[in-house]
Amino acid sequence: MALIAVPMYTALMHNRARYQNVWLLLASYVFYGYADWRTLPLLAVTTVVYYALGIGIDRANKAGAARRASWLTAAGVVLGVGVLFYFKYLGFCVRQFAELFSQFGLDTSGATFAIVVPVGISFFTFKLISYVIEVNRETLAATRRLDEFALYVAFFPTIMSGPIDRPGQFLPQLKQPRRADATAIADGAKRVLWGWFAKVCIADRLMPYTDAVINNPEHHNGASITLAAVLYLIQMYADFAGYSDMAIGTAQMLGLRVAENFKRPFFARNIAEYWQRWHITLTTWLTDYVFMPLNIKFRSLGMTGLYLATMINLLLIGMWHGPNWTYALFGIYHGVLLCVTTALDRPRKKWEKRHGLRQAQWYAWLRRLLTFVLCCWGALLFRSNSIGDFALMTGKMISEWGPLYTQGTTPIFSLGLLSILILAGKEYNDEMNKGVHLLHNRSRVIRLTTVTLLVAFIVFTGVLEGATFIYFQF
Amino acid sequence: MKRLAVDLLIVIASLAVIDVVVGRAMDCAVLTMPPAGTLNADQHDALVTAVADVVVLGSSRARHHYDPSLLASLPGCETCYNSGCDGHGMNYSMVALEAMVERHTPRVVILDVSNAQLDDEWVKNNAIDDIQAYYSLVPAVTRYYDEIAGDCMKRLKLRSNLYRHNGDITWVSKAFLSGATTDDHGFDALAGSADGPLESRAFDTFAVDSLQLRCLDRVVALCRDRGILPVIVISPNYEVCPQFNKWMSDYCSRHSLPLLDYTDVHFDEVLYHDASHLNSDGAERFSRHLANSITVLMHVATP
Repeated sequence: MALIAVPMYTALMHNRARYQNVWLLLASYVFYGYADWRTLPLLAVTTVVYYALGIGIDRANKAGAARRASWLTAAGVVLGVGVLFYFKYLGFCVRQFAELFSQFGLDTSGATFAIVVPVGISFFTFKLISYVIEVNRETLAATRRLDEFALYVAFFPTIMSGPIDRPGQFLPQLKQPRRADATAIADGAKRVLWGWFAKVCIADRLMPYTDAVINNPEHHNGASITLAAVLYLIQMYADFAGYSDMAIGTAQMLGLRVAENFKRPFFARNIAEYWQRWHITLTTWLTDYVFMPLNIKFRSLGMTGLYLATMINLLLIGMWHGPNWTYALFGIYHGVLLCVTTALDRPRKKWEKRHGLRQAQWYAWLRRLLTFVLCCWGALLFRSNSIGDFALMTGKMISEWGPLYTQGTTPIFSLGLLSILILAGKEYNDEMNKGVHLLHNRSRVIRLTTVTLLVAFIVFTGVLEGATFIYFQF
Repeated sequence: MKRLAVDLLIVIASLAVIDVVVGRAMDCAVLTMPPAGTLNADQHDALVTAVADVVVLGSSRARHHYDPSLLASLPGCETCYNSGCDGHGMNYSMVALEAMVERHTPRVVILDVSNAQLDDEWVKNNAIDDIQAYYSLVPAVTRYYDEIAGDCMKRLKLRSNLYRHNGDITWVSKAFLSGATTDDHGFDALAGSADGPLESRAFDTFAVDSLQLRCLDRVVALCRDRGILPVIVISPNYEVCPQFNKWMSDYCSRHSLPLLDYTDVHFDEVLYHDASHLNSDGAERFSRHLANSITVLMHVATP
């Protein structure tokens, strides 16, 4: 898609913002329709409705009719949540009720509810909701240009798996024509290349192992399950951060800035920091629109209110991924971890000061390791097919150890681990500001050599056929 | 922009050089790979070196069920090679046979068949791309991608040596580093019996995949052209697909092919490694039984 859209965009239409927007909108709808044409009308209709709602809220605000503006905003929020609930959660609820009733001997054989879940629905409904809230808060004027608004909602690099852009950052960029900029195109292309590397050399390479173990926990021992949990967290990161890099890089080539979604989460020293680095656009979205209002509402409850807001926020993060009890439990697990982190924050700082640990490197690495281990367990819960499977796997991790499952795993433990080392080296360099920049080196020779070798490495060792992105399902 | 275009050209030119150098090195490594007994090494033998009077074709059940040392004693035959390959469909069997026939014409081809090799749902999971390393090296493989598979994009991608050898470095290195050499003639006997009691399982649907059917037709046609006796076998299995058996029976009648169906021949459970694979004892017993049956067939075919 990018291979067609970008050259047309830069070569034929530069200097004309409107043509560029319409071209990108067209490309975005073709892209979305290619994934599943049946849900295109939903995207188009919700876009028009929210466009109208935005104008209505803006007018009400300007007329001083705050109450009407609030009602329209509430309608927008309810509609967005309703669409999300209908397409993603209703089938699950029907199934749960059917199971419940069947336990009382009632016939529930007819209680099925199958519906096509639109691709990227969790991402674009959040964009729509944030738009009406921002217009209501008057931090953003409602756009009168339907093409610009539709492009904000359907922008092809981000509609499938984010990042979830805020209208205040994205829409103003569409007013100005984007000119062909060699540096931006080169930087964007390198970002896409790096994302591709993470996806095909790490995420897709690790997938056979994690799938084989986590889908069949009864056949594997604790050692294999523990390794699968570690690999799954890395796989999920490489998959999702890889996609985000590709989306951000493609947008950069088109002259548009898209929000960052990851900031080296495995260097986080506690769970709070981890969530500031992982799926940033989702966590900041929920922080701004759910956590902060709740925190203010529960202020009278003191720390209990804070914990309550935290738990609700993390539960929503879990449930956002889909209708599954494992996701809910994943949210609760991280909520509890976050509350414990908050509760222990002061005593920990005092203790660190007393023992002179604040600057100790080993202590910082120990904390990173602990955070990583906790997140691995969370990732196992996230990936488990059921809570029963998760309980079985946890039990085996504690009591049943033995030799690692290694059938057909040579590529995983050779090429996969080599790629992980390359990724870890880059992340370490960026996190610690070591100043080694191969893709962005001042020397042209080093820059081009790195790009060439990276492309060759990807084609020679990556998993090039058939895999999709984990977050497409959300 | 001009500088960017120049940079792009430099990268493409460098990639072309790397592609040629890596391609040559990998071609050399693949062609000289030792017979290490691994699946890939056995594929190498089937496609590049093996010469036999009796050739066994099929998927994992062929690889684990047919003992070449017992089947080599068929009348007028001295050698047998088992080119059964785990998780592969009829297309792999066809490529392996075409490659072997280019070196030596066998007298008998034993084709082990199952629904997994021909069903259009199952074959999606079947592997074939692990032989793309031999594209442009083995004519049968080149012919498969160029003329039979019908995938233009794949053909285009196979022009790149880096792509053609994607992921090969692990199994090539493993074959060289292991230092092991075997003379199992492609046979891989499975040790041990199934953990618990085996339960019969029946698959109720079967729809033949058009590509796999074309490959089966080519196998039959090649045997006819070269005067090879083709023997179709459904080996013992607890997982059966009656529709497939019926389809296969009709196919064999239509083409006047001998079909040996062992579906209803119940071997003792201790002879199974799992529900669909015999263990080494089971393979020995089955191979002896099959050798006798084929000997009778050969007498009937050439009175």
